[in-house]
Amino acid sequence: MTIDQNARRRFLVNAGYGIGAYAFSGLLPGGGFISSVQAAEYLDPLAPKQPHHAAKAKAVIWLHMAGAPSTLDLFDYKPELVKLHGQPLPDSFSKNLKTATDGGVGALYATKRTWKQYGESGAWFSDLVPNLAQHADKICFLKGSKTEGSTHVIASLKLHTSGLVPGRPALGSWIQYGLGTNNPDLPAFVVLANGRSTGGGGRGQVIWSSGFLPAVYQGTAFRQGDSPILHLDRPAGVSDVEQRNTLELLKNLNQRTAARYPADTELEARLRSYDLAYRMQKSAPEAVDLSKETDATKKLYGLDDKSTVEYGTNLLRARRLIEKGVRFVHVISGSPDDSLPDWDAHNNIEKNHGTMAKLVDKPIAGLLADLEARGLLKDTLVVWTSEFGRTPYGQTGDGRDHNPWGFTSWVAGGGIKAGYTHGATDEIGLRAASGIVDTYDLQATLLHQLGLDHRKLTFQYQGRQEKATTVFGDVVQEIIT
Amino acid sequence: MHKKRLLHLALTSLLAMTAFTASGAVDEDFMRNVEDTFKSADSAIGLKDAKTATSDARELEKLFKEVTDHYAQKGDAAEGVKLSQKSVDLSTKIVTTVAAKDFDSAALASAELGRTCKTCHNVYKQD
Repeated sequence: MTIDQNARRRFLVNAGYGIGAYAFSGLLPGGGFISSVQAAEYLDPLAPKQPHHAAKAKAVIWLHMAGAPSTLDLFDYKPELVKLHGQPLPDSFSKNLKTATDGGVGALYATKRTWKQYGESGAWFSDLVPNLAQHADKICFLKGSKTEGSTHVIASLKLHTSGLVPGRPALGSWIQYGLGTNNPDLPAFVVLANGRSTGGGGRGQVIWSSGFLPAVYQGTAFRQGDSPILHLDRPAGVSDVEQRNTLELLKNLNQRTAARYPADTELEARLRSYDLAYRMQKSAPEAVDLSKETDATKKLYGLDDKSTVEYGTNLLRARRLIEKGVRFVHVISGSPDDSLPDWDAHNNIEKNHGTMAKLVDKPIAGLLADLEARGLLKDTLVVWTSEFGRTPYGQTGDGRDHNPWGFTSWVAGGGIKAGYTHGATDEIGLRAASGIVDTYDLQATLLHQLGLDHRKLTFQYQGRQEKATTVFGDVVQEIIT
Repeated sequence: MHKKRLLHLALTSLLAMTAFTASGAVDEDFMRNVEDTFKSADSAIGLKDAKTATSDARELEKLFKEVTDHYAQKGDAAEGVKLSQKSVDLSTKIVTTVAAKDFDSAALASAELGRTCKTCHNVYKQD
C-alpha cells in the first residue's frame, strides 16, 4: 500500500481543526443544542463553537477541596461562635435541622485560629492561609453557599454534575460540549489530582464523567510525572516511523470503510481519536514540562518545599494548560499521606487543617499572582470550593461534621467582582442566611461568564431535553462586573 | 336515627382520614415526584411538546395544591402556603401559555417555578 504523506498531513490538519467533515446537526447525538447556539455544523464534536453571548472568561481552573474543609476555620470568622464555645446548639439554630451522619450534634466548637483582615476589602482570613490572604482583593467570597446531601458522594456529584446520583455530565464536559476545544492537540477538560484519594477525594471518576453526553467530552486525568496520560507513550521497541506507518495503514483502511458509511460518526470519531492520541504524544508532555519555567516561578508555586511541591506542580501545570487553550482544569486536593483522609476532619481538625491548608495555601496564592502577572486572571475563572462545609458544633471532641447548610466558596478572575463578599451565614456559621448561592447558581454563573446560557445549553437524552444545571440555577448577577 | 349518627360518624372519620392522608403524603417521595414531573414539563416546553407539557403542568397544579393544603394544615407556615400557591399559579400559567403556543413565556414561567421551588426549599427542606 502506498502511503501518501500529503494526504496524511491534510487529514491531520482537517481532523485537528474540524473542517474535514460537515454534517447536519441532526446526525449528532443530542444535537438540539447545536442549532440553539448557531454552532458550525461540523461532525467534529470538539470543533470550536460560538457562545450564546459575549464571554468574559475563556477558561476555568476549578480547585476542588476534596473532603470538605471547615471554612469556619479559614474565611468565615464568627466571634459569636467563640463566645458560645462548649454550649449546646441553641434551639433557635437547630429548627428543621436533619443531621444525617453518625456523629450527632456535639457542643459548639470555637475555632482555635487567629484572625486578621486583609487588603482594601478587609476580608477575614485565618492564620491557616497567610499567603492566600495577600490576595484578598482579587477574591469574591460566596459566604452564603449551600448544597444538598450530607454525604461526600451525593454532595460531590451535585457540586460537579448537578445530580444526586451518577450519570450526569460534569460542568467541564458541558463547557466542552458548548464551546468545543481551543487546542485540538490537547484535551479540553483535564483533571489533575495529587496525593492519596486522588480519585476525587475518594469519589472517583463520576465527578469528571461526561455522563449522558458523548464520551469525547469526559475529563482526561493527567498523572504526576513526565508522562501525564496513561498508555499514551509509544510502546518500547516501536519506532516513530513504525508507529506512523501503522496509523497510516489504519487510517486508510478506516477511510475506505468510512466512504461506504458516511453517516457512521463512530468511525469518524475513532479516526480522530487515533490522530489526537498521536499528536498528544508530543503535546501533552510538553504541556506539563516545567523545565522551561524559571526558578522564581517554581518557588512562587511552592515547588521548593516538600509539603507543597505536588499540589504546586499541579497548579503550575494548570496555568500552562489554560495558556495552551485548555478550557477546564479540575484540580483535586488529595491528602499528602495516609495519616489524613483529605480535608475530612471528623477528628483532630488542628492536625488535619494544619497539613491540608499548608498544602494548598502557597500554591494557590502563587497561581493567583502568576495569572495576574501574565494577564491571564482577567479571563480565567479560578474557583475554590468543596462538596460542603463543616459544622460549628464539634464532633469526637476535636473535629467537625459535614455541613451542607452554609459554607464559603470563592471565585477570582474571569469578570467576577474582586475584593467582594456576597452573602453570609448566620451568627454561628451553621446556615446560609443571606445571598444564598446553591451549586446550581454557581454553575449557572460560571457558564454565563464563559458565554453560555445555562437554560439554552441543552442535550436531548432518552427523549428528555437535559440542561447543564437541570431545572434550577440562576446567574448570581451581584458578583459580576 | 342511630343509623344516621353512625353514618355521620363514619363520614366525619373518612374526611379526617382523607385530610390526614393528604397532609401526611407530602413527604420526600412526594416531593421527588413533584421534581421529576417538573423536569419532564420543563423538557417538554423546551422541545415544544405541547401535549406532554400540558399534561405535566396540570399534574403539577394538583400536586402543588396538595402542598398548599399541607402547609395550611401544618400551621405556622405562611411562607410555605404562599410559595406553594405561587407554584400552583405558575403551573397554570404554563398550561395557558402552552395552549397559546407561546413556549417562550412557558419557559419563563418554568424558570420562575424553579426559583420558587428553591426559595421554598431554603426555608422548609430538611437537608
